[in-house]
Amino acid sequence: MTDLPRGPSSILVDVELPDPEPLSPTLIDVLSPLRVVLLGWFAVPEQTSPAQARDQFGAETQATLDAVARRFEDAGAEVTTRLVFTGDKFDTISRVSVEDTCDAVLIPGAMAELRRVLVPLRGLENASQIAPFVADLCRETTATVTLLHVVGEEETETASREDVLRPAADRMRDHGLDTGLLELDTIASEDPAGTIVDRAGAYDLVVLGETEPSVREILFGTVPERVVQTADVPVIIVRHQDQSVDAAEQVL
Amino acid sequence: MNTSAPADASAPETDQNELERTLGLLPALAIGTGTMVGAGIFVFPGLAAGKAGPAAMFSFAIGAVIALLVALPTSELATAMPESGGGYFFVSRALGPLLGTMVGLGQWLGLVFASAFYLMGFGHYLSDLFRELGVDLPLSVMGLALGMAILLTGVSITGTENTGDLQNWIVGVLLALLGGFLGHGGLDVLGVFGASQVPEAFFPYGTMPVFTTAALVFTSYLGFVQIATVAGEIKAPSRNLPRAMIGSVILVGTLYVLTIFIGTSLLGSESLAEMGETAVVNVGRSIAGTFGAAALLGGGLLATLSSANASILSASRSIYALSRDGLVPNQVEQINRRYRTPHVALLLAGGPIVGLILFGRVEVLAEVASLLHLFMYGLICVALLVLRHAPPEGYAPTFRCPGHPVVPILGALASFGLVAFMNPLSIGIGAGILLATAGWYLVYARSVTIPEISS
Repeated sequence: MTDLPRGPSSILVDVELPDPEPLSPTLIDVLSPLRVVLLGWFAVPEQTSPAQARDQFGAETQATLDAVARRFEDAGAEVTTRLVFTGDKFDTISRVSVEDTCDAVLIPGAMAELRRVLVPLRGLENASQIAPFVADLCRETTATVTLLHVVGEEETETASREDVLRPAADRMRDHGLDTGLLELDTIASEDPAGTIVDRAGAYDLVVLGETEPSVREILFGTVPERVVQTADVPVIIVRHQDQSVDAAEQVL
Repeated sequence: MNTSAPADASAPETDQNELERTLGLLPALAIGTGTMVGAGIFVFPGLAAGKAGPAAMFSFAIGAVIALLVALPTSELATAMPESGGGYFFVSRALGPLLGTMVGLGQWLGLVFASAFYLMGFGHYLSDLFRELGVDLPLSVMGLALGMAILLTGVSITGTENTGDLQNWIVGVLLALLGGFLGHGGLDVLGVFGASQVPEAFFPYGTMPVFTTAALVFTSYLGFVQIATVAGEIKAPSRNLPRAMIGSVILVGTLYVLTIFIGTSLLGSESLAEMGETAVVNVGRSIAGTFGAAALLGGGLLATLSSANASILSASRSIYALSRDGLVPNQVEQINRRYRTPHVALLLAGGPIVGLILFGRVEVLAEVASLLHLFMYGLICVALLVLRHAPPEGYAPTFRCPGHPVVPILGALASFGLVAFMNPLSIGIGAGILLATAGWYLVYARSVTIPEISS
């Protein structure tokens, strides 16, 4: 990770084509300080060659994607679009997130207003990946950002505060986030995933660090999916920065 | 954290409408193996043993050698042009649109014949199943095959669930099943379990039937080229295409030879022949009793069905490649908006299959399917010779066919030569079809020009 100065963090937003799920205007505003990689994907079943689908739907889907891109541009975001015809959207999202060095990937959900952001942390290393992204995302807003550390029985609340939460808060401040908006919270629980899912309902957005070395597993795996399904809160997954394209592509 | 992404620099160029490669090595192997294994193991052993005796294993070995002689050149061409279309694509680019049209339409119809043949095999297994269960069925083998043909076509048009994973599982289960039986049967034959072999002459009908049988059973080696047909969807094509094509030929070839060896050793070729299409069920019975029979009966149902299904899908892909180049009307590639499937192309595969099942002669169906593919195989070898002789701009294969030019020359001679051993009716039908495809080109597509090879 390099020092400041740098461009804005980037986020991958995937758009299902030809008929996209509607994105809430508030969410688009919230993402506007970021560089947005807008990935339109058109899924084909195995009976159909992706090239065949492109021949027929290429122009139409490009126009739809461009219309979505304009909404982000009008909100002030720097937008790149990619349009992919694919037999496997997970493969596509995973590959593009690595190729375009996206810092994070969005799983959309409903958002009326951005007042409270939940940022669960697993440890300091994890926090240092998330900090610059959260700072870029929330710097211009008045939303409160709750840093949540779920500890097991053997860890004390003091250690959690001193070793994880405070240093994480410092990093966010270094990246320009107003510390007055930060809340630090430690919870003891043997089920961190369940705790996060339970809490998520009280927030407008959840920002999580990636756990596995693959976007595919975390993206559509456990915690984020449960958050989106039970609370219908949008989730942003901040990626590890050390993935190679090969690892993401799963050549076998 | 670095926001000056490398992809940004080339954004306007590469951002437009990409195609995802989604098939890894194992799914590619499953396409090849899944298309082939249904015939060689589950339909042909009885028929082949009846014609050539225990020497039928040589017939399968000859087929494997020819397939390998073609798989090597095909691998080079596929890594040079990893685009969907396969044999048609190579031949049309190297030898022009007339031969390209004949190969492309020939592959479509060859797969239609093959699929009808697999479905007849499926009908035999299903009717065997009902017989074993003691159910008296009002439907004949042909009726069962016909019902399944209509069902499969319907499902392929309306089915939006991906069955790719299912196909991989089916192939995996079949291979495990066969590995178990062949391993056990092999030990049986070697006398480990004390079973007695059936002694008989190795060439009971002489050597000529070995070659005519090789021509008949070559339908068991049509699958590897279907991997090249979906080359545009295969990940890391320069690595995975040669491995999948060559690997699937070696894998199924070994299984076929072992199946015949063990089957004829345990039961004798005459009794194998009497059991016809489903002889392998009795091989299973002699190795593991009722369980063995049931397992191979189930295996036969799955294998013939998966081969038929894979053939329908490949047939639809092969006409798509032609329509892209304008050699057939472009309505053919129309995709149904609701199901996102190429319903016209799939109907053009499923419809003729129904007709061919009514024709119903299993051996002729198999031979015509083989003939139409052998025509393509021979021309693929010729295409390699032409492209190596005068490589066009942008011809940069990552896999080089070993033993050039001997391998492609032998591959072409063997492919065309094997046709001579087929029965006259099959040769007549096959030749008629090829003439008709040439006629189609002359009438419909003579003005079409084929784009140059580009990389």
